[in-house]
Amino acid sequence: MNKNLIFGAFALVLLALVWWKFGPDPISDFTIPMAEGEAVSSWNYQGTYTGNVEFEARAHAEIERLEKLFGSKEFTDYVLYVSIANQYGLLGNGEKELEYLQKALAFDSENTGLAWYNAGILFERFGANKTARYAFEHAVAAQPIGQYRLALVEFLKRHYPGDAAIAEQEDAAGSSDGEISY
Amino acid sequence: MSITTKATTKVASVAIGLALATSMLSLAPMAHAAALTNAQVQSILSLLTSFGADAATIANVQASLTGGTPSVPSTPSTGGSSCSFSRDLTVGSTGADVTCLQNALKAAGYLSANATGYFGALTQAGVVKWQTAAGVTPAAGYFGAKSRAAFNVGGGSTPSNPGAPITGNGLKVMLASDSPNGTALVAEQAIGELAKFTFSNPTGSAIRVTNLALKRTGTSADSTLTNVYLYQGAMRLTDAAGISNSAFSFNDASGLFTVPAGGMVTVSVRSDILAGSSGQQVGVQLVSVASNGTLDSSASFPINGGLQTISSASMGTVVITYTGPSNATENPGTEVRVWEGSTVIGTHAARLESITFENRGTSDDNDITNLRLYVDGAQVGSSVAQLTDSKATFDLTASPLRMETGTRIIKVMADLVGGSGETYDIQLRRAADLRIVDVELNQPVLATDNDASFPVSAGTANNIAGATLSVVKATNSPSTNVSVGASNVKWSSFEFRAAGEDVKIEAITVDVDTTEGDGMNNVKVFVNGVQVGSTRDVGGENSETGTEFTFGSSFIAKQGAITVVDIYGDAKEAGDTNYASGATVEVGVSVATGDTEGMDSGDAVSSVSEVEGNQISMTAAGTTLSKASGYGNQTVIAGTNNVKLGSFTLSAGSTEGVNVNTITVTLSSDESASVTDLMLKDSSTGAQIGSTKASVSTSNSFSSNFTISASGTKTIDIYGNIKSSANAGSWIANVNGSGTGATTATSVSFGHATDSTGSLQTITVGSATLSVNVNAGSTPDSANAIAGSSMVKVGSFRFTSQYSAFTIDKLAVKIPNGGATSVSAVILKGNGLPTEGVSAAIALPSTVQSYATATFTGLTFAVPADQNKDLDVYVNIPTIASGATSGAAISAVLDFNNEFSAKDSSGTASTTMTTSTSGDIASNDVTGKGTTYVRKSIATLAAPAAASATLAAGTDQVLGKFTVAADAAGDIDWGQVVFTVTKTTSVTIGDTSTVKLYDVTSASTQVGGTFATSTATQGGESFVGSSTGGSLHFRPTTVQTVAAGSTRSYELRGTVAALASGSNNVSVSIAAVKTSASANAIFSTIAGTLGTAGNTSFAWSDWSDPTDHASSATGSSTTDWTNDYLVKTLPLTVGSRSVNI
Repeated sequence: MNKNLIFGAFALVLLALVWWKFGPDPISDFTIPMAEGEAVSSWNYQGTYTGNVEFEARAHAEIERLEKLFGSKEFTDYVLYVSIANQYGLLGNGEKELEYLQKALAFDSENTGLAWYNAGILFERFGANKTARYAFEHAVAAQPIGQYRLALVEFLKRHYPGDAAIAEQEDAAGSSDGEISY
Repeated sequence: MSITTKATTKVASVAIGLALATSMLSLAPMAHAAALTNAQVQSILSLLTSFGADAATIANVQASLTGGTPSVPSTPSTGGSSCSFSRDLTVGSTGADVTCLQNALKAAGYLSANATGYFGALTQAGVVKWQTAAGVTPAAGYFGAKSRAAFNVGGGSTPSNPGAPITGNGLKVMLASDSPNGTALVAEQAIGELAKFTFSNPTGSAIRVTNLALKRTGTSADSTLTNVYLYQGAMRLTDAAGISNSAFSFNDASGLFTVPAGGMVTVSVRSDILAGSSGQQVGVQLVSVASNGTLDSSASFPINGGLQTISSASMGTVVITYTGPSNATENPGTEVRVWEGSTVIGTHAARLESITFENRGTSDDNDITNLRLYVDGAQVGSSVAQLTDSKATFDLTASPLRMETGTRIIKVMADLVGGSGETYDIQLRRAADLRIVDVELNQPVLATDNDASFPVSAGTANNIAGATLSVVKATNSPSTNVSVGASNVKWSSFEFRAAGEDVKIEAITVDVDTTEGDGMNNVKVFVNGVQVGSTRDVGGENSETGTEFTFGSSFIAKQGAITVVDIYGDAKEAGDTNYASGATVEVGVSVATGDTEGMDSGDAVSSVSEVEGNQISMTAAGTTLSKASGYGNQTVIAGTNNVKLGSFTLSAGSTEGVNVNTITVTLSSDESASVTDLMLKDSSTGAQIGSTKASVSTSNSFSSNFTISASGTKTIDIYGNIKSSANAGSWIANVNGSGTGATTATSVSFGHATDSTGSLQTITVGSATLSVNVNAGSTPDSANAIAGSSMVKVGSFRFTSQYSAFTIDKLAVKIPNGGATSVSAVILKGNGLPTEGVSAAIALPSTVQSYATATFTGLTFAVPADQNKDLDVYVNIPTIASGATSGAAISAVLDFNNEFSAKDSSGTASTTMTTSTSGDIASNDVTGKGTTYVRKSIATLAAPAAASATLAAGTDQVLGKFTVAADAAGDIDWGQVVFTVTKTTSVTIGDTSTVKLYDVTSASTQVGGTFATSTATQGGESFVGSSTGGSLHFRPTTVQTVAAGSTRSYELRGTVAALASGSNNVSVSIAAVKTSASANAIFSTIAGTLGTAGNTSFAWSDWSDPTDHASSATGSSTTDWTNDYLVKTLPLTVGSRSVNI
């Protein structure tokens, strides 16, 4: 075998490894845009497990376990990203929680509402209500199921009561197109 | 040249001609003129009139023609403007006076140029011409003192403006600025205005004008002026003057009128106009003035008034018939009708502008006062205080009274305050005393007396009877209550009126009527605010005779005046004993005939019977107690400190303030045993009153030292601590107390220790409770939730407090065992909790329990007293990957008696919440609400629009379309769908063997499987024409898989036939939806036997049992199938086609 060919092949393999290690992660490319005028200075919050050593350890172990499930075919990557995000949520690590939700959205941001919905919860927690509304609305648009519609209506009641009434009426009317035109 | 200019030129030419003619006449006295007949003179004057000559010119011409002296020998007229010459004018002079002179010269024809205000050569030449004509020498064109005098003789001056300083060295006389000129008079009218002259007096002394000599002017005759009078405003100053040879005069040695020092008076010459004199012109010139003063050097006579034209018109009529008292005898007094006339207004409505009455009786001016004019019962104009020179003029000029045609009653009312033994005879002396103007002709009507000639008066004068004395209670006589023991109290006030003459009152009798006691102590009589007579007691138990107070000559009631008599005294009996509280007192006065004497006649007047003052009540100083209006009944809980146990208001009486010394709070034994630390506080300031009663007894007396002012109030609150051991029940404090009158020191008391007059608010000692129920309105309907969802609302609970606020500091939320492993956290949200809520992890029991519990400690969830507060429960659901179980049912249960702690406002802790079941309360206690079903993935059905809504016959007609979408969380399988078909009876869709389902996601591929029907009428094989529809069950041979995050589309097709005339339609839906969830189970359990009624309309799996499912989706080990409950968006219409044939 031509040494040059061998060397070239080796070089290509090396480049591929470097790219794999340091190149951009296509899954993490999706970013939920923060609404104008909204910013979150610190993403940490009091999670359910925050401060409870036993539970925190449990969450970290779960994250580790979930990471290993990628590629196992038992669960979709989407679900695994959301699962890990949820563990970070229990730990009160909003930054990582959002990071993994966005990974899920990179996987599917149009047909599935779960990551949008959880992102809405997260943004509302930090008072970024315009962005939260954006997320809740996308959850309903992706899947107009009762869970997401109810969450959106209740969110609007809390922060945009004028719009909530309209959304509630449409919800009661059984709108099924995934759009709430308030 | 325009027509207008031509006309103007013509008029100017005539005017100049007339002016020249006038000048010529003045320069050549016509000694022979007297030889002209009156008709000839009138012809000349008429010609002048037709030329538009002004009144002065015509007057001068007439004077010349009739042998008189022209008053204006070629004097330039200012045309009524005011030229004031105060300096010499010559070439080079400028100013308004130059302009005025130029205008005058031009008007007289001596100057052709227009006025410029500059005295130049043309003006000088004009002045020379005028001086020559006027005889001013030398005629050099210098306008100096001689010229000014000559100018003023010609009437060039006008009266000073009112308000301007009056200057000069004596009485000035001039034609009034508003003297009439060219007024249209009417033949047979009354008092037509002929001229007005103004007299101004620059001196420091009043000047009486005693004689005015006047002359009639114009083309009239002496007889034209049938009665000529002199007026000052509305007041007629003279009787009619006689006219001879045009001359007439007004004389009064005592003064026709008086011009005050520095003042001004304008008089009018008015005359009744002869009937049939229309066409004549008439005016007046003032020839001379006599007075007790000196005429100003500027005065020059005659002073010509303007000429008025007499026209012919149908004047209105006024006919008066006297209807007042005649030969009556009136007692002196008020409101006496002294004149009345029935007045008939004819032809035109009339405007009453003034009317003057004159008393021709023997009474004096001050005997008749307060004269008022009434027309048809309504007073018009102002009252006239009293007669002046026997006359009273009602001047309505400023606001005339319009009287329509018909009969009007004109009446004069007056007070006869004097003149006992004398007569009064109020007369409307002459028609000239009534200025009543025809509203259409605007000239006074000549009134007539219906009975005879004027005056309109009684046939015989009326008599004024002897003096009278009247006494009435003054309107402000006291009526308010008097404090017991008060001194020097004004008890009554009276008004004494003497009429006819002044009356001396030598004594009055004061009588005191009381319901308790005897007379009055220290009584005084005040006359017009000054005590007369001595202070003395009025005595006599139950006596009506009273006590006489004598005054000698110190009390004389003036005729026509009100004399105020006040009676003062102490609120005590004659024996110096206080009137008792509640007694009433009336103090009256009477006058005996023998105690009176007319000051003129010496006769006594009639006695005055007793006139009572107001009844006055004696009141002791007092205070009343009432419950404070701003504090109602209360419910408190045992163990509460600083409770407001009552609030009351003390109100002092109006007679005097009260010093409050003691307040006692009375309680029952049980009540006193329930309370500690009883205290009183001023409600407005919070200041404590008296000392705190740490140990409370049934009678708790508090010393106080505050004063409530008369009519004042003070609100006092009672506070105390309710013992924890206090029995439940009502608690009512009674309050009473005492004090003294702030002025009289009399004792007062208030409230009551036992009866309701001292009872305060009801304070109910109750047991505080905190109850909880499912808040159905806010608890979500049961629903599927995607595993992995955060903050899923499961339930809402409403806490309700009673009697006390509560703060919940500890709470346990239980998750039923089947759902507990599918919950990673429980979050509570509610008003008062952090916005993001508080969360707790689920503690999974180590042994099998019904529930897992999330316990919340350190809460500060406050529920205000007697209010509601909602608490919402959310859960975080982990993903299936993290342990959630598909199909798990999650609900929230509040543990009513474990891990619960709340404190009421008294600090008492409660470890049990009250529930309707006396047990736990669950979010799904309300049917259809409060359960969340966990799904690994979710199927969502939708119905895309059909390609055509028109029903058509044929095979493979699309009857319905639907899609099944799978959540990205995982694949979805479905293994059965049940359609509900409705149709018009004629239409058939083929046997079940001919109906097909196609997968049209990408290509159109028939889905293999079996159709069946559970509708018996279809015979299991066909939808016959006689039916209106039925069920159509389909089960694919191989379960349909919808990949995670993807959607598959399906079409139901059939053979449509037998379309009939009219409306044809077929509608398909997936409608037979379950109303409760099924536990995850194997396919056959969920789907049932194909074609069986009641089968789930959509059997689906979320692959939550992935290993078994991958092996055999419908195998006996694959327990991840569920029914259609909560599947969105079922029920769903998937097709509706119709056609009208």
